[in-house]
Amino acid sequence: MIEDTLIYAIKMAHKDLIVELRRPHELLSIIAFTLSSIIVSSFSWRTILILDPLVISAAMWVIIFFASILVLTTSFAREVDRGTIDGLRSLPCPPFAVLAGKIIYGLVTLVIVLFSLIFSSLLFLNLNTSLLPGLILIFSIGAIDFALMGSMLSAVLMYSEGKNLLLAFLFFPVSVPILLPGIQAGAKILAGEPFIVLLPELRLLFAFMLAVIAASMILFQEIFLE
Amino acid sequence: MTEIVKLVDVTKNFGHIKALKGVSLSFTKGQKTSLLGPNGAGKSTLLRIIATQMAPSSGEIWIMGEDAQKNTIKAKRCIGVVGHRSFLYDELTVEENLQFYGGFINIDDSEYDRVLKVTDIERWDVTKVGHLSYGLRKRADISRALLGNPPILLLDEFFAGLDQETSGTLVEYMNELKDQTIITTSHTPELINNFCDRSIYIRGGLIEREVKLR
Repeated sequence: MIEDTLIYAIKMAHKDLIVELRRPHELLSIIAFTLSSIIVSSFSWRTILILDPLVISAAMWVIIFFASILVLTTSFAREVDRGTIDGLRSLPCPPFAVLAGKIIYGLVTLVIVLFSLIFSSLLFLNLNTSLLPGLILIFSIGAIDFALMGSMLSAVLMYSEGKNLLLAFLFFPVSVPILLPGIQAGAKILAGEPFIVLLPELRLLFAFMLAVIAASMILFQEIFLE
Repeated sequence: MTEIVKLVDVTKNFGHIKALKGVSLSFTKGQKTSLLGPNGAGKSTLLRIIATQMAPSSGEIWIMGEDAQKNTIKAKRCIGVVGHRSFLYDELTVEENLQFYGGFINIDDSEYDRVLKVTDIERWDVTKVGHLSYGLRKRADISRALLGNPPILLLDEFFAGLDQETSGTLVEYMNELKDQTIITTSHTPELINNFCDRSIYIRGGLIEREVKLR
């Protein structure tokens, strides 16, 4: 059953990725936004000899947060707008597979954005390459959290009037449990602290992940089947 | 006659609005039924409940002898749905759309060719759906619904927005489908009556009358 759900979810994500890549302007706009944000930040920060790790971390999380809004919040809303949501509802698969597919799609897209963010940061903010494993770890966990929470929020609001406005506004308060530990953990990595000191933040990020997964498994079927 | 779909005292409430007020109906194998009635009568709600896309507030739905509310996935395997709006993705070709939907049911590759032949849309199999005319898109959508040869076909506002010629062609396709139990909704009985055996008139969430056509 779990294996089937995963296979269906991958098929769903595959379809979404093909659709997205055939309409590349959106993904390219998000990557352009990421790169230009880092470059603009580097213009203003280049006169400062030692950058505050908290400031860099916060800037990187703000960028990934906005990219998440653009990538995730439209995933279900778009299916409703073009009428294909009923097609997804008619599929003979567990409803959770549809959500899981959207999560995988969101995650893959965010990982693409994440790599452009981390590598442009290394290049334009003169970050040390030894920070790479830590940054990849913490931002990957953050991306998983964003993908889970953003997809679920998109599902919850897909039938509401003015959903696009609501999604953007509601994404911030529900992202706070990701942003607070994420910024702290990012700053610790940028300050060159060892992995062991990241444990409290990692625990919070994992706990949030489990809470969203549990809520999704309980609520999604009811939301999806009207 | 084998009962393929059976509804027992089905109700559906949307807040204080009662869309269906206790509908009991049955549909036999190969029977082609049209659900007719004014806007807001409850036709589409009934169709969505049969399609297991929507849960009823109360009542029972039996699909192929099984409780559809308990065996939703099994019920969905028996049902092909063509909505008023297409379920196909504009960015994918007809073939890719069929492969996506077909990926959720166990079918051979030859099944894609079969359903493309049924609606005579083979020539457009590598064309993106966004580039197709409304009529061709509808035909591609029927092909999608026919994947896996489901015994039940649900058509919601099937002829809406189609010109007379395309509608006539689709009526011909429908007449060729002898094994499927077809349930369709419409505001316009003229076209529907060309392939349906009976019409059921719904008003205010209740069955008003049933008319045998053939």
